Amino acid sequence: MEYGRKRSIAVGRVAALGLVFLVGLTAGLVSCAPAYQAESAKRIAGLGVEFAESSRCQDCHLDRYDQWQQSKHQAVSCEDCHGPAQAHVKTRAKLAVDTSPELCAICHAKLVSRPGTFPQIDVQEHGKGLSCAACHDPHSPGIAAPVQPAPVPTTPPPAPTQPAPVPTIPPPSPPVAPAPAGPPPVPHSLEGRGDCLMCHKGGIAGASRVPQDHAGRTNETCAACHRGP
Amino acid sequence: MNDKKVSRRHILKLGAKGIIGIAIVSSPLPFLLRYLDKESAKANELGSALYDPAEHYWGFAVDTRKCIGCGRCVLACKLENHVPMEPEYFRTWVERYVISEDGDVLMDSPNAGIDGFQPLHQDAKYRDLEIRNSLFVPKLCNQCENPPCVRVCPVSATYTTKDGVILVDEERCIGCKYCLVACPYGARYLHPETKVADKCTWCYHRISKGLQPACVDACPVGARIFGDLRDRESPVRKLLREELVQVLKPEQGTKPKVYYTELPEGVK
Amino acid sequence: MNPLHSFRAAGIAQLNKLNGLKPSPFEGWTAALLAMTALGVLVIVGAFVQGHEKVYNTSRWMPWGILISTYVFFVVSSTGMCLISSLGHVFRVERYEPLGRRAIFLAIITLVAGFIVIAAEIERPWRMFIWAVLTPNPSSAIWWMGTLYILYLIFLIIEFLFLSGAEMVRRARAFPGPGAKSHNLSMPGSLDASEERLRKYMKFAWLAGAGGVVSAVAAHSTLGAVFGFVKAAPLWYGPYMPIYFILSALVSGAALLALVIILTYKLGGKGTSAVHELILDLGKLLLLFLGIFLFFTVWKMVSGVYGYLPGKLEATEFLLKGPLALGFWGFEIFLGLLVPLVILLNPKTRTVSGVGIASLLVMIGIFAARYNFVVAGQLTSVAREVYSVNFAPGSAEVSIVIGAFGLCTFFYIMGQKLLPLGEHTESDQAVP
Repeated sequence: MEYGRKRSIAVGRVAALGLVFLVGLTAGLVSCAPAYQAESAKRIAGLGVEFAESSRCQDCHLDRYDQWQQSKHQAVSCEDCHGPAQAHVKTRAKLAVDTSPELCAICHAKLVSRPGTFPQIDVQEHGKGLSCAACHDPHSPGIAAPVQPAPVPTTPPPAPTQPAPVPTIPPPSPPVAPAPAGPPPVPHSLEGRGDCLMCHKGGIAGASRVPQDHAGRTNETCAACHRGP
Repeated sequence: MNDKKVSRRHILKLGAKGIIGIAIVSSPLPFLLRYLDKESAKANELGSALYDPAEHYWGFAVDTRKCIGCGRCVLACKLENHVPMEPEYFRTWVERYVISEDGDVLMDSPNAGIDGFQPLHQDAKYRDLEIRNSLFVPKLCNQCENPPCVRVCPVSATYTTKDGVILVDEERCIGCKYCLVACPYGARYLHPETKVADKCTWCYHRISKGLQPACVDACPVGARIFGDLRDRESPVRKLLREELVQVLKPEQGTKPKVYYTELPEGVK
Repeated sequence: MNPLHSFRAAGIAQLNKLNGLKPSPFEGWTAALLAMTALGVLVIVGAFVQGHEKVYNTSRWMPWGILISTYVFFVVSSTGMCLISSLGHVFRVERYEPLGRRAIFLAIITLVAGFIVIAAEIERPWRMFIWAVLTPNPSSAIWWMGTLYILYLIFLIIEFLFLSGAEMVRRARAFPGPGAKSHNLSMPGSLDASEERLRKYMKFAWLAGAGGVVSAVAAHSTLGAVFGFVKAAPLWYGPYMPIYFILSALVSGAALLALVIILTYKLGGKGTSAVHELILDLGKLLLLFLGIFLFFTVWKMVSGVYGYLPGKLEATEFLLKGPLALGFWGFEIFLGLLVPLVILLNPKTRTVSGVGIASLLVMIGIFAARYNFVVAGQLTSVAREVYSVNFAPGSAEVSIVIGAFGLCTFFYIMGQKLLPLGEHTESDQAVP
């Protein structure tokens, strides 16, 4: 009687509830993720940068940039040594200039694991604690061939195949034989150059070679005759 | 008596109906929210930059023959992406492999290589070893085509973009670290400030602006190469043409997109 | 009649009941348990305020620590108790029917304790509930595990409500009249104690129980899959973990139920011979499951070292001869498997006390086994095999674990006092 009808109504209600719940559950399972992911990707793409590229430096520092572009350090970005520069582009706050040998040693210290063709050296032994920049301009680090000693060469010296490096000290005047009038004065600043023999013994970086009659003399005695600036 | 009976049962029935009612009413809610979100996503699109991810498919290559282990890439990455300086947190890192004459393969990666490496004779591990070979292997997120990290995220917080980069939505990540556990390369870490999973994004914020990833710019020897795999003349495609390349842990089935020119036999 | 009046009357009757109860030996422990729980809660709050990376001993190289293994431990116990007690009220094996409500109640509180422990491990747990619903990832084992565990919890609660309701009806039938002293939870005498109602309640309880068993097996094997799907961890990867976890659930369910029943009846009051028989039956079940468990463990270890599979060998050796050797051989194998097996095999030692000791050792062994498993799997992952990490749990994590145990025990004692967990007997005393 009543019971049968009530029962079917109840079953109908339960079935309807179940259906609505299932639909809701399915709709929820169809993920909203793509919309959120697209928004997240845009947010991440919009983050600010800290490192400008080296090409940005060209805008203001054209001379250094050109020098650097032609040097052996052309693959070393400006910011490798000077630090992130995007802020500097906007605010022009001074960037770090680190001339310590430790900075150069990061790449150029001798390590067995480094490829053999890569220029590496025992930095302490080679530089004796001095700044590498004393002899190697970081924007053009190659050193010219040592200047030959006084005797006239039998064959003309070969023309240089690459542009001469920017000298850090004035080029030496050609040697005038025989003895000069007196001890030549020191034409360059002595800062960072306490070891005269380091360059003058072998005639490196265009320095004039120590003459034969100075044999046996040490660094301490140079300043006694050769006056500084 | 009868009243009490009715009232108690009445309340229970009311309660049950209420709960079921709320459940039914709220079940289409996620559907509604998704619809609403589409609107806000559209609004975002109109205002954002004109970078279309669908036009690119990024790839990365590492020439281990050139790497000198200077660690400039690790430092640049930390500075560019504001990664904390502590040793545990890094997005990219450099490993040094030393192969002894006996064939043993040893690896070290001090502080991810950010300060470079000390000479082998100064490390007790290598001091008395006869060394056959030694090299540096830089590593970063491989942005796999079959990424285990994306597969395991319970809330879809990590995902692959259309241009092939895997990112983490820091607003939805719950920090369960399942992706850290699932990555076979150890590329992920939990960021201590945002408390969500973090990893190398190939500097997505740079590459979408036409720049290169910070580590690629920083590398002084050109060991890291980046480019668009769709562009035949991109640096990566050129390298892939000129060299035979391999990937890390191919047996994991992840299909990485970082291609290495040479890898030592026991590479981790 | 104003419905609020009947609730008020019920509440007053309840308080009178509590005031009249004799203090039981449980009282002294309650303060200690509350202290443990408070410690756990405070440490959890502190961990969230300070940042997990500062207080937990987890790291990039071992992201999951003792909190995850404790979560697995609690959840494995919960699933096990549901499965064992389902022998009684789903599969109608009569000798296990007395397990009924107690087992389900325990299953609920251990599950909740497990959830609290894992909420302490996740960095942003509140986000779970929103994003797991809005942006689910059906390929994520953790997503399925979470969803199925909530379903399991719902089934458990429904089952417990109906079983308790049925017990109410039974007691009302045995001791008619309002506010009868024979049960702790008195109703204002108006319960319809008909046979039909009892059958209806039992039927719904059966339905919920069946749903509970299915969802328990599904959820727990999915928890096994959380580990088993990680190809990067050779110790975990494969089809074995889901199966092993279900077996582990059966072992720890039998052990924990036996232990709890022994403690409840020994400490709380009189035990009947039926209870005695039940404990010995549980002991026999435990013996069977331990045997299978040992079988599984042996094959897992042997297959790990056989054949020199590169990642798998290191992972297995990490447990067998590596830093976790003591935890493995000492706790998991010796204390957790061999000693209980010997106790249970020998009919002379298979007494109630013997079963109790064996069960306690099994629980310790399973706790250690879960920890070994979680740590060894990560430290031998192909992503991290080169780093030697200090994997000892930090004091914060240990405090949280202690708090979780305290919470569980406290809730059980409260439930024991306030809820109809046991069987009614002819005695008119408050029945444990």
